[in-house]
Amino acid sequence: MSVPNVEFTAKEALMLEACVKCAACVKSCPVYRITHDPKCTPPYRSKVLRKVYQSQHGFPYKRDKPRVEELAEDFEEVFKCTLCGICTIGCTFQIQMRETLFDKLRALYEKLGLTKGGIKQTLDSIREFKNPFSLEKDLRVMWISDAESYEVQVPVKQKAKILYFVGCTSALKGALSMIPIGAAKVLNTIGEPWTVLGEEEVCCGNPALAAGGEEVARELAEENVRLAEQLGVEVVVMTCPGCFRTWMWEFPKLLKRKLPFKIIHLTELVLNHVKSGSLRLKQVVNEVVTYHDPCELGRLSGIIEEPREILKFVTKGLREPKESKSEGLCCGGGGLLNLVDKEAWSNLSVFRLKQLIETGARKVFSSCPSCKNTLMSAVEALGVDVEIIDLAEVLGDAVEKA
Amino acid sequence: MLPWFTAIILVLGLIARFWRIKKLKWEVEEQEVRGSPLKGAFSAITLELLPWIELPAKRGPIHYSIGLLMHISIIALLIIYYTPLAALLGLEQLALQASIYLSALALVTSTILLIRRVHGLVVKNAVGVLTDKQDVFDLVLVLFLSASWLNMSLAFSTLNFAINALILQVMLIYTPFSKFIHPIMFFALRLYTGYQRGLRGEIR
Repeated sequence: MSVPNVEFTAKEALMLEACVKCAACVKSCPVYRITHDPKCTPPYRSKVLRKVYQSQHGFPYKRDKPRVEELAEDFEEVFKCTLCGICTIGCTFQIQMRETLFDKLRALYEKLGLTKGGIKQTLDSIREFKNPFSLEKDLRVMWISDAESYEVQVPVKQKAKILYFVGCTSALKGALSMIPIGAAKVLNTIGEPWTVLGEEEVCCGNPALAAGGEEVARELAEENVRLAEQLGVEVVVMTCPGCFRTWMWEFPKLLKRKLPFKIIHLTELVLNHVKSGSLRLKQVVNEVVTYHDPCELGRLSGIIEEPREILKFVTKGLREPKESKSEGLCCGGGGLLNLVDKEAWSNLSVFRLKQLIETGARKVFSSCPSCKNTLMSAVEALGVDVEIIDLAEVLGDAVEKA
Repeated sequence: MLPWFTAIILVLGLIARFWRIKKLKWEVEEQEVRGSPLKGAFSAITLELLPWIELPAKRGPIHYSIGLLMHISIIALLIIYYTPLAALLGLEQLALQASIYLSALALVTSTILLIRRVHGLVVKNAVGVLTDKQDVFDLVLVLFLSASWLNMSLAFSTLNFAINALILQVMLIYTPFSKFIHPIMFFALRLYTGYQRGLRGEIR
């Protein structure tokens, strides 16, 4: 069966036509660096999509329709990607492979029914449970009970200026509950009316997009935005970079409209308050630390200096690891890689952890629950005495009213 | 007669190539980051090429340097041979001397890049799985053009000029149907997206 016609935008066409297959981006691709699989590269994935594009818009002598079976053979190559986006800055043409082409390619695979295994299960879980972990919605508020044991108040579904969107990973993975608790402490210290959506919060759609489920992601975006609008919020705060990037950059695309509120990451919020003089930060970690840039927060959203500025206040100092800031190496936690190639995921996380501990720091900070989760697995695999900490976890104790 | 034929094919081919993009949907994304398109494109072909600017693209330093040298030498040769710039600046003698070295450089670098492609096809590495017949043909054509430049700069004669002119015509005719269009695509893409490295955080 031939691949049915796909709608391409001019931007996608420009990107597909501009690529000269120079392979300059290959050496920066973390999955290629770990697997050395010649087909696990950004330009190879683009080539798969280009075949489809050429068959519709190429010159007549190039219009061989690719077969669905051909695309099915490339399933692993297409999905064995962390969606970290370093290929874009590795490209002289700045072809936005991750954000424009790979999302499209994954959506095409889903549309053609070619997704399988963990990728398909994740999408099915999001459709049914509105989270990627197939967990019931009442578990979303478990962290709130934990917060109460720390005497941290968490207002649920109230009219407020600030909405804290917790995200599935922090809310549903018990081991990460200190992240939302830390954020709640910060918001209580700031003192402006804030709220969470509680059981009604649904997945932001980030893993749905990674699994190719654009329609599911659109429905989730509509639901989340509707809930936020009902509460009349002015600002939506996140601790999860995946949620942050999806709300910030994907929601307007999915909903084809601007959002009526500001999207902000917790580190930005804190730093803004520190700069305006309403908050003070105190040192709570008495040692030199290092920082791992989450791809979706740093490279893909531009929040690079904010966490560093905060770390300068709350720790004794910061040592930069190799490959940091906008060129930060992915820990492997993105793109649902662990569902397609567990070995690559594990090897990549260990590789990144080694880079981080080369700095000599024994406390590794990040600002992402997924990175924390992945790097904690690497700590276990390497058997090293290193602590992986999300910045939100210490911010709760580090902020005080000025 | 031949230059006219070349010009007609080139223009019609370019129109056809861009028409197929033009007819697609040019949607404006609500939250798209738009920097200064000119600044982004300009820095990509100037500042970012400086050796001390670290970029992921430079992680394959040998391939990057060879590719860069090939592009620089070809651009310089195109300016020397097909624009009146050298004459206007009174640097004809210098340009003639430089053309020998530049065409030798273009020949060597395009040969290395061709070997890289062919080697990739043989060992089926990351470059090889991307390479098709057209990629090889493109480099063969660049190699021939470089050789004809070298030939012409070492011994100028009507025959050598005619060989060079013929290869150039073939390249121009072939441009709209190949990746030789990439300089135009580069500016089209960079100016349209306005993408600038590391800009996202700055404009919010």
